[in-house]
Amino acid sequence: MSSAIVSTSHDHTISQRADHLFHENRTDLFQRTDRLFAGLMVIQWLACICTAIWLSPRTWIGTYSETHLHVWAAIFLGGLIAFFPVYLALTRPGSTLTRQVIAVSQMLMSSLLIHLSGGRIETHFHIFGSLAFLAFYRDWRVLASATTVVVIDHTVFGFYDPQAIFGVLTSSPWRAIEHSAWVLFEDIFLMIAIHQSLKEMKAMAQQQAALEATNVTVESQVKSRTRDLQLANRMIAEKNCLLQKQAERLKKQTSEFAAMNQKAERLSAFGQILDRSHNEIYIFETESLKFVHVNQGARCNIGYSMEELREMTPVDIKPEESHASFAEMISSLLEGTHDSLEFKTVHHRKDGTDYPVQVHLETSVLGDRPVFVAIILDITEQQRTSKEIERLSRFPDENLNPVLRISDKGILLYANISSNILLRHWGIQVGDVLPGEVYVNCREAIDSEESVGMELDAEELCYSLIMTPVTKENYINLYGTDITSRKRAEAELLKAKEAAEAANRAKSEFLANMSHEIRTPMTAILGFNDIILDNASHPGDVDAALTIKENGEYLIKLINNILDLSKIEAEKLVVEQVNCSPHALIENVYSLMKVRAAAKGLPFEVRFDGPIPETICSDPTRLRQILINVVGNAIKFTETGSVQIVTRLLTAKNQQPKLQFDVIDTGMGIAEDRIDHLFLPFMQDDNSVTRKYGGTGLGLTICKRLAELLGGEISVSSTVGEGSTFSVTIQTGPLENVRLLKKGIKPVSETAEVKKIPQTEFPLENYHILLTEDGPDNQRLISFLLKKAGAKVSVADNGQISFDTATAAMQDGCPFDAILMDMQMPVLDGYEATKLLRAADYQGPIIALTAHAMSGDRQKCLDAGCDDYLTKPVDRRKLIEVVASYLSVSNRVKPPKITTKVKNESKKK
Amino acid sequence: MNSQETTSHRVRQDSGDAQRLHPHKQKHSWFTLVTLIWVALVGIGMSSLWEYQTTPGQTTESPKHWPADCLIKQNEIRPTLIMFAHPHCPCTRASIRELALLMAHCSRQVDAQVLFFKSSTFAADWVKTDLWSSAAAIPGVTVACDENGSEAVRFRAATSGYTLLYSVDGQLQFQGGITKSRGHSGDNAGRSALEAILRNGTPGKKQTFAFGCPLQERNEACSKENQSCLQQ
Repeated sequence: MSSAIVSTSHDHTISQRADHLFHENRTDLFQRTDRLFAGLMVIQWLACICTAIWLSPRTWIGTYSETHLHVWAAIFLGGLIAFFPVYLALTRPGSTLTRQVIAVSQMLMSSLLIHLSGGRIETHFHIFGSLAFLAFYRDWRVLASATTVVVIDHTVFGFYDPQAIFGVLTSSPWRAIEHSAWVLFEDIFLMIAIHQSLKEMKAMAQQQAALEATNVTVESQVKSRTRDLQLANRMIAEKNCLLQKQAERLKKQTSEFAAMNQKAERLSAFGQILDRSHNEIYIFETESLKFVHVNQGARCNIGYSMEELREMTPVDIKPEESHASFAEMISSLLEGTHDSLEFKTVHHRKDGTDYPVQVHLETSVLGDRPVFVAIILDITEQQRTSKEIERLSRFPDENLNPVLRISDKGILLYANISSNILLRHWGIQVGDVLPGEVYVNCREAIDSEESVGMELDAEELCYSLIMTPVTKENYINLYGTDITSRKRAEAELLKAKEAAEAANRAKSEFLANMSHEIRTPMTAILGFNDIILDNASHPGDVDAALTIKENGEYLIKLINNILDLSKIEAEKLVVEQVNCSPHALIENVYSLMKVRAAAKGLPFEVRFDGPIPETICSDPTRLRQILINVVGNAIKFTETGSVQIVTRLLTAKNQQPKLQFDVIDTGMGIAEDRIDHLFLPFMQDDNSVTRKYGGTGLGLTICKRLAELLGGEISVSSTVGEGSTFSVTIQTGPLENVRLLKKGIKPVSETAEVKKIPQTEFPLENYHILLTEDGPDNQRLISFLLKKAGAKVSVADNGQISFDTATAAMQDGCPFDAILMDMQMPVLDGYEATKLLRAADYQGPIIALTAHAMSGDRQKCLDAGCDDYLTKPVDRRKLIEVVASYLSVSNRVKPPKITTKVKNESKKK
Repeated sequence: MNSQETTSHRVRQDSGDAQRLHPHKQKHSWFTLVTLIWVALVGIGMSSLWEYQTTPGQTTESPKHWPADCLIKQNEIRPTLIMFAHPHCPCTRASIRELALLMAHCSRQVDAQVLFFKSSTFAADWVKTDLWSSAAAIPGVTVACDENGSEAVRFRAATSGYTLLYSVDGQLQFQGGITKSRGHSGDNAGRSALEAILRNGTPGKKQTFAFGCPLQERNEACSKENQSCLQQ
C-alpha cells in the first residue's frame, strides 16, 4: 500500500518535472526562432530594396525623370514592416506578441514583394515559404495569424483588382476560396507536423525527467553501497593484518629451518671434502694405535686400502720410527703436557717408495672414545720447489752484467755481485737510496709504465742501464750492460767521420779551386786559339788549332761534370724552382741538337703526346742539361735510323703531375745486364764504347741525380740492336690556372735568352768598357775581343782599382758604358766591387765573368748587383752579343758617347 | 526530498511572477498599442502603393481616321497597330510583354509598330534601351523613333504603352493600354479586346485606360487646356 503511494507521488513529481522541461524547451525554441526571423526580416528588407532599384529605379515624364515610388516604398514601407518585429525579437524574445507580429510581418513582406515585382506569379511562392518558416515556432496560432493576413489580402485586393492578385480579369469568390484553400492545405500539413513535433518534445521531456529521477535514485543507492563497501574493506584490512603477522612468524620459522638445513649440508659437504682432500688425515686409537679412519687422499697416496689400514699402526708406515720412539713421542699428548705435536718424517708407501711429510698430531674424541688425529702434508713438491727457488736465486749473481731492484721510493732492494762497480761508483749499498739522476729515470719508468734507458760512465767503464717497471709490485728492475767497447768504437768512428768530412771539404775546395784555376788559363788558351783559328790559313795549322779547341772544350766539359758530381754528392747542389715554358725549352734543345743529328744524317724530330702545360715550375737550366745529355747520347750512339723526343703530361690520381720526355733512338741498344751500370759514375756500357765514342761516364750519373732533384727519375728500356728509350720525368709543380697547349716545334736560335742585337761589323763601336780581370792573359784576350768589336777598353787589375776607376769616371762626367767584372780577384773580389759600385749609384750594366759555372754562382752574381753572367772560358761570340745587347738597351735610353778620358789603359796594355 | 525542493522552487518562481505581474501587464498593453499603430501605418503604406499602381495615365481621344499628314505608312492589307512607348519607362516593360503575347496569337492579322519617344536634346542611343531591344525582338513588330513625340501629338497619345489599332480602311478600332495597372503584366481588358477584334472582327471594348509614364512633360498651358493642347 505504502509502496503504491510512493510510486504515485514519484510519478507525479516526474510529470511536473516533464511539464517544466517541456515549457523550458518551447520557450527556448520560440526565442531561437524569433532571432532567426529577426535576421530574415532584415535580409528580406534589403532584398526588396534591391528588387526595386533593379526593376524600376526611376519613373519618367518625357525627358524628366525621378526616383520611382517602388524604391521609396521598398525603403520606408519595407523598413516599417521589418524593423518592428526585429525590435520585438530583440527586446521580447519568446513572447506571444512577438511571434504573432513576426507572422503578420512575414506575410506583409510577401505582399510588398509581389507588388514590387509587378505581380509576378513566381513571387507567390514566397507566401508558402514563409508559412514553412513560421512552422519553426511549432505553434499553430502563428500559422493561423499568417493565414488570416493572406486571406484578407486576397479577399480585399482580389475584389478590387483580381488581375493583380489572381492574374485574371474578373474577380470570382471561388478564385479567392481556391487560393485560400491552397494556403490552408499547406497549413494542415504544417499543423500535423507541429502536433507530432510537440508530442515528441513532450515525450523527450518525460524521458529526461524520468532519467533525472533515475539518476537521483541511482546516486542514493551508490552512496549506500559505497558505505557498505567501506565497512567491508575495514574488516578485510583487519583480517589481513592478522594474516600478515602469522605469515611473518611462519617465514621466520622457515628461515630458521633453512639455516639449519644449510648448516647440516655444509657439515656434510665439509666431511666429504675432507674425505676427498689430498691432505692426508689419519685417525687412530690412543691405546692400540690402530687406524680407525684414513681419508681417501691419504689412502690414494700411501696405496693401502681401508681394510688393510685398520690392521696397521703409524709405526708401520714410518720407517724411521719404532714403537718405542713413537710411544715416547706421543706420551706428552697422552699426559696432556702438549695439545698438539708438529714434526717432519717420512712415510713409506705400499709400493716401497718413501715421501717426506709434515705431521700435525693432536688428540680428539670420536663418538665416545679418545683418538689421535694426524693431519699429514706431503711436502715432496714443496721441497722440490724450494730447491728450484734456491737455484733460481743464484741466477742474478751468475749474471756478469749488473742487475738491481729498486723500490718506487728509490731504495736499492737488491743488487747482484756484478753490480759492485756501480755501487762503488754511487757509494751506496743495499737499503740505501739511489743517486738522483738514476732515481729520476726510475720515476719516469714507473709513471710511464715503460722501460727507460740511460748511459753511465763509472770507473773507466761505460754502462747502458735499462730501467723496467714492475707496476704490480711497485718496484723497478735495473739491467745494466757494459758498453765500454762499443763506446770506444763509436768515438773512433766519429773521429774517422770528421776526418772524412774534412777530407771531403778539402776535396770540394780543391775541386772548386782547380775548376777556377783550370778555367782561367783555358780561357786564354781557347780564346787565343780562336784568334789563331780565325787567322790561320795553312791546313795543318787549322787542324792543330781545331784539335786544341776540341780538347780544350772536352777538358772544360769534364771539369763541369766533375764539379757537378762533387756538388751533388756533397748535397750542396740546389735546383731552382722558377716558372718556365717547356715548349720553349724543348725548342731550344731541338735547335741545339738538330745540327749534331744533321751532321750524322739522322732524322731528328720532336713530338707532343697530348697537350703540355704552357708553363711549369722547375729548373730550366738543369732540365736543359739533362735533355741535352740524353739526346746527345742518343745521337752519339745511333748510326742509322732516327732520334725523336716524345713529350707527354702524366696526371695520375693522387699524385703530383709530371712531365715525361721519352728520348727514343734506333741505335745499338744496351744489354739488359748493363743497364744498371749506366748510372754509376765513370761507368759506360763497356770499355770499347769509351774507346770508340769517348765520354767521361759522368753524364748519365749527373742526369739521374738531377732528375731526382727535380722530383722525377730516369728509366731506360732497350733492346740490343734495335735501340733504346730513355724516359726522363720531372715534377711540373701545381698546374691550377695553367693552360694546356699542343703545338709544334718552331726552330729558335741557340741564344734565345740573349737579347737581339744589330748585326754590324763593330757592334761595340764608340762604347767605353771597363774590364776588371786579374789574369794578364785574359786581360789581353778579352781586351782584344772587345776592341775588335769596336769598343774602347780600360782594364783594372782587381775590384778596388775597378771601383776607383769607375767612380772617378763618374765624377768626371764620363762614366763607363759597361763593366766586365771577374768575380775571383785579389784585394777586392768582384762581388764586393759590384756592391760598392751599385752603392755609388753606377747605373750602367755590370756583367760578371767567373770560372764557377754552377747555377748557384749565377744567382750569387745577380744578387751582388750584376746584370748578367758569363762563364770562363769566354765564348767570344756570346761575350760580344751579351755586352752589345745591354748597351743597345741603354742606348735606347741615352745616346752613345765617345769616351775621351781613359785611365790605366796604357798601363794595362 | 528532491520533489520537495522542486516544489519549493516552483513556489518561489510563482511568487516572483506574481510580484512582476503588474508591470508586465502594463508593458504588454503598451506593446499592444504600439502594434496597432504599426498595423495602421503599414495599412496606409500599402494603400498608397496600391493607389499609385492603379492610377491610369492621362485619357485622350485619338483621331477616328488615319491622319493624312501622318509620317507612318498605313498597311493597306492588314490592320495597323501602333504602340507609343517611353524608352526608359519601367512600367512599359509589362506593355511590351503583353504586345509580345498578342503578336504570338495574331501576328498574321496585324501590322504592329512601336514608336519610341525621343527628344532631340538627347543623343541617338538614348532611345536604344532594353525596351527597344525587347520590342524589336518580337516577330512582326516594327520599331521606330518618334522624334520629339511628333507622331504621339498627331495621334494624341500621352502615356507610355498607349496602343491604337486602325483597320485597313483607316478607321480607329481600339485605343488605350494593354495592362491592368502600372507595370503589371497578365490578362487585361486591352489585350483581350485587341485579340477579339483581330481574330473575330467583333469589337469588344474599344477603349481602356493606359498605365505608364507620361510621354512628354506637361507644361502649365497644356495642363490647363489638356485636350486642345494635344489636338494642336
